[in-house]
Amino acid sequence: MNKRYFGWARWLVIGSMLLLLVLPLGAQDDAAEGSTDADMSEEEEPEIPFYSSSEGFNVPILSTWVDESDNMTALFTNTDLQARIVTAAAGEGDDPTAVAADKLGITIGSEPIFTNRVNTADGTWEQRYYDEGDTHISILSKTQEGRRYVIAFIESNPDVAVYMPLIDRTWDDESALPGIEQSIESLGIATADELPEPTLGTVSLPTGEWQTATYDLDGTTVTGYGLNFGVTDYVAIAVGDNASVPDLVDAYNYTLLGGFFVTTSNVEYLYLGLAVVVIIFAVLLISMWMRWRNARRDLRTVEQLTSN
Amino acid sequence: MAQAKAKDIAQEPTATPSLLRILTLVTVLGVVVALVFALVIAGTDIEQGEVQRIFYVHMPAFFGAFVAFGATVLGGVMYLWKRDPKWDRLAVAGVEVGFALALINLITGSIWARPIWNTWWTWDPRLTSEAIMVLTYAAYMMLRAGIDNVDTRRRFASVYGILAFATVLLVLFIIRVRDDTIHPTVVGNSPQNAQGSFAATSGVVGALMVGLLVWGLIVPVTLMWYRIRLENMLDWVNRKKMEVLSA
Repeated sequence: MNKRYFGWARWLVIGSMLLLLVLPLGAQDDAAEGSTDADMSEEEEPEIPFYSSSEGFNVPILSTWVDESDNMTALFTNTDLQARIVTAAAGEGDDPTAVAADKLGITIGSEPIFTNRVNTADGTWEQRYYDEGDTHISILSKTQEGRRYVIAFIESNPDVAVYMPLIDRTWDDESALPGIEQSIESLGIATADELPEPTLGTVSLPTGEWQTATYDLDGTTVTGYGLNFGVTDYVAIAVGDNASVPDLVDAYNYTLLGGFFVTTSNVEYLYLGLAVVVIIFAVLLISMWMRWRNARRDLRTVEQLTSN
Repeated sequence: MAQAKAKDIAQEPTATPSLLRILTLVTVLGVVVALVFALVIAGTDIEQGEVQRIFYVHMPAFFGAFVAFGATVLGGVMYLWKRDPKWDRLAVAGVEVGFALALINLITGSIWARPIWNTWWTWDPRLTSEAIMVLTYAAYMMLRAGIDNVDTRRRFASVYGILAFATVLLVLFIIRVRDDTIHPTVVGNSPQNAQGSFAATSGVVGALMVGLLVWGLIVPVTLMWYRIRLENMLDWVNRKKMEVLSA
């Protein structure tokens, strides 16, 4: 009877333990019931597929472009738009132009038509722009955690020249026009005085609502696209036929705005955490073992006293 | 009185039972498998980096503490009902093992927070309630050690162990009471302010399930069994000492 009782008690303990496990899960589920609309809208956002490089950086995959990436370099090609976007990592002291040329398999022989540094919410980027005849190259690079990360956009359409500069926002109003005109001047297309009154408009792209300004410069159409993103204006300047520009603007800025980021190197914290786990278990086990050993010694002493 | 005295007798220590030996082996293998899942099989979180892998020990450690502290409640209730010291041994084993796992949960969380939240500690409702829980059970062990009378100690510890479980529930349910927590949750949606959330992908769920089984159930049960045997040994030695002194 007694044995049977303990049998039931054992199952009672096991059953109670399993029931207890349900409680923490229930508590978490309850939290979900109290979630806000903001949570729900966040949950409903489509998941962005990312390319993750073994070099530690990540960029969104351009689903409508051909993915020619390998495990180190992200390379997306669009033959219709005659454009390629490459993202790569190199040594901190490496020349970003050489890195981009190497990854794209091209030679960049000219000097940049415009270069400077821009402070964005994502760090300081160095930008360089090249005009190689029918080929136009925009190169952004920044150093982070001892590596240089390079994002290059190359377009080879003879009907249009497209550049994608970043501009420090130094004006107060919402207009993107100052950034567009500053870009046109910096790229050497025209000075501010030479620019006629533009035709203004907006274009809605997946990366946001872009303001546009179209100029007629002696029969050549120059179209500027501008999008404010905090302290930085993202600009695209197209000289010539601008039919394909919205797609190019969106693809390039999807890479840049939509999610280029470097995976943080923090493995030392993982090691620290594992060391803590080992130390706590070691203290517990050694403490139990020492108490057991001392108890055994005491027991032997007591047994000796008893036998004497 | 005679009944109480009879129940106060500890069982004579025996060799390690075969079942416990097997369980120990399973535990060691389980820990290895759980670590392989956490450190190798589960992919690296591209936003949080390698430190996210701490999560596979951090969260299951709380579940392990929960199971152990739950055993303390069970032991406390049963001791107050039956006055059988074996239930008190279960209770104290639960506190000691649960305390170790709760400490792991608390410290690994702090280590994770340093690169993700950019701080070792913040007085977030969930973190604060967790700290209160750990301190409450630390106080249990100190207070228990401070009471000489065995019967008083066991009764006091039983009541304390039952009441202390309120702090465990507080940790669990604080996110329902306070919506200003930044602590993310994995089961269910994270609070609006949560920082450091990540998607429960199949790799995450797989490593988490193994971690929960190992750290949340197998490890605490095995450790509690050893701790119960130790407490029984200590009771047995005390009994023998009393017999020698009274002879």
